Formats: sequence, C-alpha cells, structure tokens
Amino acid sequence: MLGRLFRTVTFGLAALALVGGCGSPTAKYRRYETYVRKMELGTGNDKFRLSGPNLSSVDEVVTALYGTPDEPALPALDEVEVAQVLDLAKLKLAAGPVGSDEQGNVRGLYREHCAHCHGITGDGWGPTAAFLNPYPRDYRPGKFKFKSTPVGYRPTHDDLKKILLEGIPGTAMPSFKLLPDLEVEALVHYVKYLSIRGETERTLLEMLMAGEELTKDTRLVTVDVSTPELKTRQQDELAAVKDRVSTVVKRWQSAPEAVVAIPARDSMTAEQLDESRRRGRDLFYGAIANCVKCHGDSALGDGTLTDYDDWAGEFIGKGPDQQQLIKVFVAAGLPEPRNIKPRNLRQGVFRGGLRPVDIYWRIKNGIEGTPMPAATMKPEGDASAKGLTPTDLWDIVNYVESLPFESISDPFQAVPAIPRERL
Amino acid sequence: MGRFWSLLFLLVPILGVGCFVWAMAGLWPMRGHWLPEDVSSHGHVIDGLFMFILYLTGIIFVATGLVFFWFLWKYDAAQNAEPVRFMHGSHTLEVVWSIIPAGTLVFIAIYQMDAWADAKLRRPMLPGPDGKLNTADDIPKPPIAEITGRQFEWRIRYAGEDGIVGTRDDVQLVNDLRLPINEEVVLSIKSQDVLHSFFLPNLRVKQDVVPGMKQFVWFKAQKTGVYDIVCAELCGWGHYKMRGRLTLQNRSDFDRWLGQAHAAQNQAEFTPASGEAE
Amino acid sequence: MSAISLPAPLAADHHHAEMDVGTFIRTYVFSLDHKIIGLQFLFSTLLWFLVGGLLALGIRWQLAWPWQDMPVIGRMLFSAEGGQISPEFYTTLFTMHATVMIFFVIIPILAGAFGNYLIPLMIGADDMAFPTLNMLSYWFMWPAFILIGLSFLWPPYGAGGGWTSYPPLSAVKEAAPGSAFAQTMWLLGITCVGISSMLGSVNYMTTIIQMRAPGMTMFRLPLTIWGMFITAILQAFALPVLTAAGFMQLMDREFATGFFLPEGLQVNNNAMASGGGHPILWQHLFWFYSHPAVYIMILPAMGMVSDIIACFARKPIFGYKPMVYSISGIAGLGFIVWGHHMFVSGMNPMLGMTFMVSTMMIALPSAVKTFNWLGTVWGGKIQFTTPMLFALSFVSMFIIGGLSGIFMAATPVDIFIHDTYFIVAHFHYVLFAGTAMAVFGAIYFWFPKMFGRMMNDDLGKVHFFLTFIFLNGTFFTMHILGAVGFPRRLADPYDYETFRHLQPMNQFMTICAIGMVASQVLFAYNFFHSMFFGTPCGRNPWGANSLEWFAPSPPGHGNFDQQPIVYRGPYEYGSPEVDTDNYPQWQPPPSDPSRIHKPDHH
Repeated sequence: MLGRLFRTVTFGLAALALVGGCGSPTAKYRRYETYVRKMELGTGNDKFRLSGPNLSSVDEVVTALYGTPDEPALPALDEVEVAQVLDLAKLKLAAGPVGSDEQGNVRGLYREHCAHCHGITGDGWGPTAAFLNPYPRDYRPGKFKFKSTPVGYRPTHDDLKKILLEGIPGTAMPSFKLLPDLEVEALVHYVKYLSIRGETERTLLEMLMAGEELTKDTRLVTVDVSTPELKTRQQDELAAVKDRVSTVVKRWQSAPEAVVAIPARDSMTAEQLDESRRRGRDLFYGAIANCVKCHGDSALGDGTLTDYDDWAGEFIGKGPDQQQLIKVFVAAGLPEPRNIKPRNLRQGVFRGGLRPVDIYWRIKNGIEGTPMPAATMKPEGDASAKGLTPTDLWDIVNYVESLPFESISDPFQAVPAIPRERL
Repeated sequence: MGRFWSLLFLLVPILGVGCFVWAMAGLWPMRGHWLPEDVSSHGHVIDGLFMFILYLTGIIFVATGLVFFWFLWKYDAAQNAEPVRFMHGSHTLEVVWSIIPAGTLVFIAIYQMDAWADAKLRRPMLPGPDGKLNTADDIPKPPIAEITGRQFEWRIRYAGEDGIVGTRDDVQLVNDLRLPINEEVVLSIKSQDVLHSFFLPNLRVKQDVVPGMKQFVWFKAQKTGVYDIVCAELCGWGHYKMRGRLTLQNRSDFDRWLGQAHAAQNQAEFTPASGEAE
Repeated sequence: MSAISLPAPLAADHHHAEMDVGTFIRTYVFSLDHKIIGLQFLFSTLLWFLVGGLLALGIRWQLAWPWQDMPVIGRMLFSAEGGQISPEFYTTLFTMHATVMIFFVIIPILAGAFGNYLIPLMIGADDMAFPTLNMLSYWFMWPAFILIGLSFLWPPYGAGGGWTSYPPLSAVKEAAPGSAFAQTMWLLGITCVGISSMLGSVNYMTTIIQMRAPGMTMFRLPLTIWGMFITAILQAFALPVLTAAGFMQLMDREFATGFFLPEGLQVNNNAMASGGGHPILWQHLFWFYSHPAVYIMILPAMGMVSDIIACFARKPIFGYKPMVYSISGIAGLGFIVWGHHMFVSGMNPMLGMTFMVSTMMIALPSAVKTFNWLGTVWGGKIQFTTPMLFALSFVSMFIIGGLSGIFMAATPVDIFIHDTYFIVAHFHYVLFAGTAMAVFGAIYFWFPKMFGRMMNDDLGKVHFFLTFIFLNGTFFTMHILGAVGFPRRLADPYDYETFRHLQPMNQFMTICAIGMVASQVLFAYNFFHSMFFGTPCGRNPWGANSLEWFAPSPPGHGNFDQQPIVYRGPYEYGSPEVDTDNYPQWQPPPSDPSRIHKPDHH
C-alpha cells in the first residue's frame, strides 16, 4: 500500500518536472491594451468593447509588418525606404533570446540589457519597471524627452545614442558606454524599431475605429477575397495600412531635418557673466519665460506638483473624471500614475545632459511629453513682439548653470575637501 | 571497502593541490584562472601575502590530509588485527599542537600589519609650508577626482583646474575613469544612495562606499591599459550593471584627454551636421 | 529536580491503534515530548533544505547560463519575458537561499532537531526541563515559515537585500524591489526564528545543568551535549542583539527613525526625510550576532562528529578535555571577532588590526579539535559505515574550510578577496561540506534510535560518495574563482572583461550542483523508505556508549524504562575492563577488582 503510494508520488513528480521543464514559451509582444481601452472609451459608450476578431486582426497585421521578438521584420513600403531608418541586420543582433549564434555573434542584446525595465514590447513595463522612479520609458507613443528636435518631432539617431551612452542621471537609466559601438548601435536601432512598431499599432487601432460600421466581425484587412469586390476592398485596405505606416516612418526619417541649431554663446568676462546671470535671473522670474511657475520661487522644483506626464496624461486627461480614468486604465495595464515633478535646479543633476547646449535645447524646445513648454521666441525683425531671443536663452542657461553653486544649494559642495584624519 | 574510502580521502589533498597548481600554471581549461594582472606598486605585497598564506596552509593541508589518509588506511577494522589503543589523549601533544599554530598565527597577524597600514592608514602626503616632505606640517594629498556610487553607475567628478572638487570647472563623467600612471593617486569616494564597493581588481584596491561617509583610496599605477571597475557590495537589482572602466594613461595623455573632456562638457554651440539632414 | 526522581512508567509504548483526534493532536502536533518536537523540527527543516537547495540551483543556473530561459521557474514566473529570470529575482534567489539555509535549516536542525532529540536522552533525563517552552520553540518557527513563505508570493518573490540585509538597501523601501513588502516579512520572520531559538536555548541550558542522570558529571557529557550547551549559551547572549537590530531596522522602515540612515540620501529619486544614523552600525550589530551564529552553526556538528568518530573508530576520543576547552574557547573568542566581516566596510582601519589578531587566534581551538580527531582515528579499528564516512568527510572538509579562513583573516589579503567567491567557497566548506555533511552523518547515526529501524547502508554509501564528489566539484572551484576576484551576487558577471573567461568553470560548477541536489533523491528515498521498511534494530545497533542507546528504539514517552546510572564517560571504547569493545556509560564496573583499569597519566 505504502509502496504503491511512493511509486505514484515519484511518477507524479517526474511528470510534473517534465511538463514544467519542456521548453519555455517563445516571447511575444504584448498588445497595446491601454490604447485599445482608450479607443473603446472614445466611442462615448462605456460598455463598448472591441471584439476578439477586431483586435486579433490588428495584431496579425502588426506581426506581418514587424515580425516577432525573436524574428524582427521590416515593413516593405513603396513611399519610404524603411532601411534608411532601421537596419535589419543590427536589429537581429538586438532581438531574440540572449546568447550567440553559430558564428559567435551576439544576439539578444535587448533582452540582456533593456527588457528587464523597458519590457520585451518596449512598453516600459518589464518585471523591474514597477520598482523604478521614474518609470522606464514606454517607447510606443514615439515620444522621447531628451533630444535635439522640437516637441512633436522624433529624436534623431544620435539623440537616442547619447542617452544610451551617458545614461540619464537622476533616473534608473544607466550608461551603456562600455558596450562595443556595434552593440550600442544595434540597441538604438532596436529602440527605434519598437517605437515605430508601437506607433504603428496605435495608428492601426485608430484606423480600425475610423472604419465605417464597426461590428464584432470587422477586420482591419479583409481576409475573405472570394469576390472581386472583396479583393478590391482588401487592396484598398492594404494601401491604407501602408499609407499609415509610411507616415509613421517618415516622421523618423525626417527627424534630422528638424534639429535645432544653437548659436554660439558669447565668451564673457567675469563681470559680463555676472551681468548675464542677473538678466537670466530676471527672465527666470519674469512673465515671458516664467520658469518660476513650475520650478518654484527658489528653483527647488516645488512650483507645480500636480501635473502628469503625457504617457499617463493621454489616457487620464485633466478632467474631473481623472480619478475614475486612472482606475480604468490602471486596470488595463497603465502603471499607477505618479505626478511629474519639475526639476530641482539646485542639485546640479540635469537629466538631459549638463553641457550648455543640452540646457539650451531643453529651454528652447521644451521637453516632450512633460509640462515643460518650448520657449516663446521673438519673431525675427519684430523688436516689439513679446518673446525671447537667443541671447535671452543663453542668459537663462548661464543663470541655471550657476544655481547649483549658489551657497544655499548645498553648503558643503563648494567647500574645499578637508581630509578627515583617520589616526 | 575501507581501502576505497581511504583512497577517496587521499584524493582531497591530491586534487585540491592539483587544482590550485593547475590554475596557477594557467593551463587549459584554466587559463587566466588566477590572480589578475597586478599593475599597482603595492599589489605585489598583497599577492605575496596571499601566496605566503597559500603555501603555509597548503603544507598544513597536505600534511593533515596525508596523515588522515594514512590513519584510515592503516587502522581500517577489516585490515587491522591489532587491538585498539586504549588511550585518552596526550597532554604533551596538546601543548605542542596548541603552541606551534598559535605562534604561526600571531606571526602572520603581525607580519601583515604594515601592508594594511599602507593600504588604509597612510595616505600620501604633500610637503607643507616648509617645502619638505615627512615633516610635521605635511598636508594630505588632495583627491584628483571624486567618485560617487549611485544605483547603478559610478559618477566621476574631476577636480578641474582649481584642484577642488565641487566647483564649476569640474569635469563630470560617468563610468569612465582615467588616471595617470607612475604617481600616487588619491580618490575620494562616496555614495549617493546605498552601499557600494569600489573594487579595482588589477590594482588590489577595494573599499566599501558608505553613504554619509567620505573616504579616500590611494594607489600608484605602473602600467597603461584599460581595466575594470567592479562594484563588490550588493547595491540592488542592477548590482551587476554597475561596471566602470579604468583607463590608465601617461600624465601627458591624461592631461590632454582631461582638456578635451572639459571642452566637450562646455560645448556651447551646435550646428546640425550636414550628413545627418539628408 | 526530576533527574533524581524515578522516570514515569512507560505504559504508553504500544497503544496507538485506537486514537481519537484530541490524543493525536496532543501526541503528534502540539506535543510536549522532546522527541516528537525534535522530529517535527527535523521534518520541517529537511523540507526547507529542499527549498534552499532549489533556490541554489536557480543561482547556479543564472551564473552558468545568464539570461537563458530558466527551466520550470522561469516559465512559471517570467513567461512574458521569455522565461529569463529578472535581475531582481536573482537578488531574491541568493538572499532567500542564504536565509532559508541558515535560519530555517542549519540552526533549527542542529539545535532544534538534534538538540531536542538528543539532550534529554544523552544526559539520562525523561524530558526537557520546560516541555511547554519546548513546544513553543517549535511553534514559533511557524510564524517565521509563514511570513517568509508569504514574501515568496508577490514580485519580486522574496527579500532582495542579501541575507545580511545591509541598510540603506534593505532599510529604504525604494532602494530595491525586495526591500518593500518582502523585507518587512523577512525581519518579522527572523525575529520569530530568534524567539524560537531563545526559548530553545534557555531550555537546553537548564536541562543540561539541572537534569543530568545520577553520576553524569559535566565532564562525562558526550561532546554533542557540550556542543549544544555552549551553543545555547552563545544564542542566549548574541540573539538579543540581532532582535534589537532587527527591530531598529523595522522602525527605520516603518517609522523613519533613521538609526541606520545618514543624511542626504537620494535613493531611486526619492530624497529620504530621516537621517542622523549610520549604515555601519547595522553591520556591527548584525555581525555581533551573526558571527557567533557561525559557531552556533558548527559547534553542535563538531560534537556529533566527535561522537560518531569515537564510536566507529572504537576508541576513546583523543583529548576529551581539550575538546571541551576548545569548544568553549571558540565560543568565547567568537564574541570578539565580528569585525573581520567588515575590514573594508569603512570601519576604522585601526580596529581592523585588532580584529585581525583575535580572528587569527580563533583558528587555534579549531586546529586543536582537528588534531584531536586525527588522534582519535589513530590506532583505532575503523568501521566505514555511512555515518562514519560523513563524519570523516566533515573532518577532511573542515580542514579546507578552516584553512581558507586564514586568508580572510589577513586584512591585506581580504582587501582583494572580500566579497568574492573565495568567501563563498570558505563558508560553503564550513556550512555545507562541514555542518550539512555532519547532519547527514547524524541522521544516519541516530535514525535507528528515532524510528527503530536501520537506514540502508549501501544506499547511504552511494549517497555519500555522490554528494562528496559533487560538493567538491561545486565548492572547491570557487576558491579559484575567488583568486581571480570573481565577485559574489552578480546576476551577470560576464559583463566584466576580467571575469568573462570564467563562464565555462561556472558551467562545470552548475553541473556539479545539479548532480549534488539530484543525489539527495537517494537520501530522501532511503529516509522515507527505511522509516517504514528498514531492518528493525535493537536498542544499541552500533554498540555505542552514550545513554540514548540505553533507551528503547524508539524511546517511549519518558525515555528510559529504568533510571540510568552513569559510571563513566561516553568514550570508553576498547576498555580493558570489559570483554566487549564498547563499555556503555550505564554498565556497572566489573566486580572483579583486578580488572579495574588504572589510567596512566599523560
């Protein structure tokens, strides 16, 4: 009796180990649930839900265009050359499970270095993400904060690469400077790929919603081509898809054209520099730049503390139903929104970089996805118009650069290091 | 079976020593499985102590291992017809094998105090106002850079032209530490968040970085090259990511590089590259 | 006390055919009988031993094949990420491996299981001095089991601050994923383990001092009991410090007291409000307990090994009193060496020199013990039974673990090898190759007493052989990694140029580790099978001398059917006074005066 029990238990355990151990599932991209929810709410009908076929038709098209996490692909478009933006060979270094292929080339760089936080899908929701403050970037809306292009434009390849190389001080994003250049390149391409893929998913969901008479069986692209009529319809739909994807890719392709040039900062004597800082200070507190509104009276970043960034804000809005929407979207997978805090300028930590040009860009272009606006520039040749000139901006940069070294910022900082005697 | 088990225990000293000798010789498959290259001026002292203790313990290890084996082999009940030696110990032996190890251990302890003091207590000094070294008014050598550990990177801050860390002309970098060789280098290390440990395997330097404490490490590198900076104290989920790079250069190369880094950090003009806007 | 009173009658031996639920619960669940409590400890700790071993395999998997799909667990927990374990889960793995192994396995299996089972039997008492306290000491483990078990349920599936829980990483909730909910559970769980140990240690001290059988003087106690006795004293004095430190950390976490947190912390983009404390304070308090705890984890094992070796060498233990003095010496010195864990921690380097000297000195009593074991084997008639093999391997492995400790005690060398695999090798040689092997030996040795049946000796030898080979394959190579400076606790060490070439060595170690865990299936089978189908044995199957072999196997409630009277020490094997090669403690001296042995004085 007991002997039989032993045998059964042993067999059971062995079977369990076999079932459990046999092959992990292949990695899959996660569906853009929050955006789906937003689309559904957009109909104005609280009860409305997109059906399984609706959604899987979008998934299928996205997969057909971009492949899987293990086997990335690039869409073939007529209008734009995708290869100018994304290099498939490099993508393949970054994609797939961690390891190396038969030739010894590395693979799976993204899953080795990035996926813990940014997630396989690039949705900023890897296993570690919940524990980080701020949350890791969700690439799918295609918005990036620290770049040389104005708000509304995509970042350039070099902008993203700089972030990978330098990291983002003040956040959990570390520097990947020590990786070989080829690997960093591969990762930048992969980030762009995930971003373009996510933007495509968004635009295709919008396309699905924009179609006439949406029923439970509506598919993004018709599959049944039994009649010539349906066949034409399918071709139209495919063309529309390509059109939308082209728009997405073009935005990335044209990013370098939008890079904002920065006029040289005048070299100044100490007195001139003091004067410039004083002007910058006035602008900081003035009505046009009005930095003080958010960054606070003493530039400690304590002005406006109740805003949300766009990654949460595009779902939860600013309306009276914000709390309700937070519940709805958190249930759909949105990270529990946290208020975005203006930077404390006295710490000497500048996330987008501490070069003067970096600070200039932040002020001039604003920071995408955050309440930090682009500077209102004075139109050229119109001296009476309200706005800032490049000189004004440099004055503000000079002032901001001096803030961490003011004595109230950190009384210990500027004191010469007095070694503590140990003996 | 007693023979078999005795031989099994004989394998312990044989394979143990074999494993170490093999690794020291660096033969396949254990190439490079020994102390990493030492490029510091003091590292040979630490390595020497390591080897000294290794030989000493190795001798004890082999001796006790062989004696153990021999007793098991000889006094196996299946082979040994002699009656059991009915005895409860030996006062003389106890005294002998207490005093000899005690003396050895005290010797080891005292022998290495100087190396410890060099590494952790005697910070390099500069001549004081009287212009002479080794006088009462010597001042401690100021740090060339301050290294701040944070989850999960090393933030590096060179003192810049004024020689003081924490001023506007500091050069700030991340994970990329460069230092001149053939001179005593002092680094100030601190932490912004949790414990880290600043570990330079090739320079035999390790110091935990404690938030709230400002500590100094010093060494003299003797060879140019690129080496790892390792975080050796658990600092969170990304502990393994906290890797830095130490580049040792000649003073002139170092100065040139520091100048370039300073210039790059003060970039105050940007023209879009024509190549980028196609 | 009851040591002189007559034992309770043993009518309760064979009556459990008809048992109502209440009796069942009183007998097997909330039992006051030290033997049942000992077995409860034994079964619980063996179960956690399995958990700890599997956690270790998780660590080994990641070190051999980083970021590859982890079999079974990876699929269960991280299917969305392609089955690869996340870096914070890796921190959980090594934290919980150590926590489980130290607090749920080694400490309770030595003091809880064997201490409970053996102390009254070996000193000739009918039970512990405080049976209810004894029951509570087991049931206080359960809150700990539950609390730590709960922390496994939510991501990141356990505490992740290392078993040493150094603040600020552990004290600041934002600092690490595992420092949020799981760390609170960890602290509360460890406190419960502490209560359990404290209840046990009070009981053991009282029992050993007060309840010895007539004739059982302190210097006639088996060394196992000496080990347990000194361990109990260590626990009683060191534990309050850990408990206090644990509560201080809890207060830091929940009420922002800032005992361990300095000013100006910026953790995970949160500025900490509290300050004024110092992280190194925790290290002092923690190691003030945890260094003596290292001896708590080995002294009882040393005692048990001494008993087993003397029994199967059929020869008196060599230098009984030096053995007792060295146990006491280790315990005394154990309180003043904690700083050697902190040589590079930022503690004043002058203090490092002091601790180096005391640490060097603690090697001395360990050396004396080793020489005495060698002396015991010398001139004996060695029976290579399974328990003896495990005991011998303890000696052989303890030599390695002891000698490698000298490297760390040397402060300048410690600069290089601190927090590397050299340390990992060292304490696994002491704790696994040492203590765990001794525990295996002890189980094989006392199993007949516990269950009245023998374990299968052939199977036991195969188990020993495989475990011995695989453990050396796993742990000896760690010394070599340590010599390269290979750091502990890195989820992916191969990012570093310096360590990239060490991956094949790690793969070898992982294969050995898998083999080691797999070999334990033999043990589990042997253990459970022998419990029901082993060869029944008499009272004294090994021909041993100490008092537990005087009781029936298994002993009933109240232990002895006659009051044992003790005439001599426990190691009189091969005495000329008798014709048998053993000479039990309870056997009266020969009536013929000419046979009385006159010891020659050394």
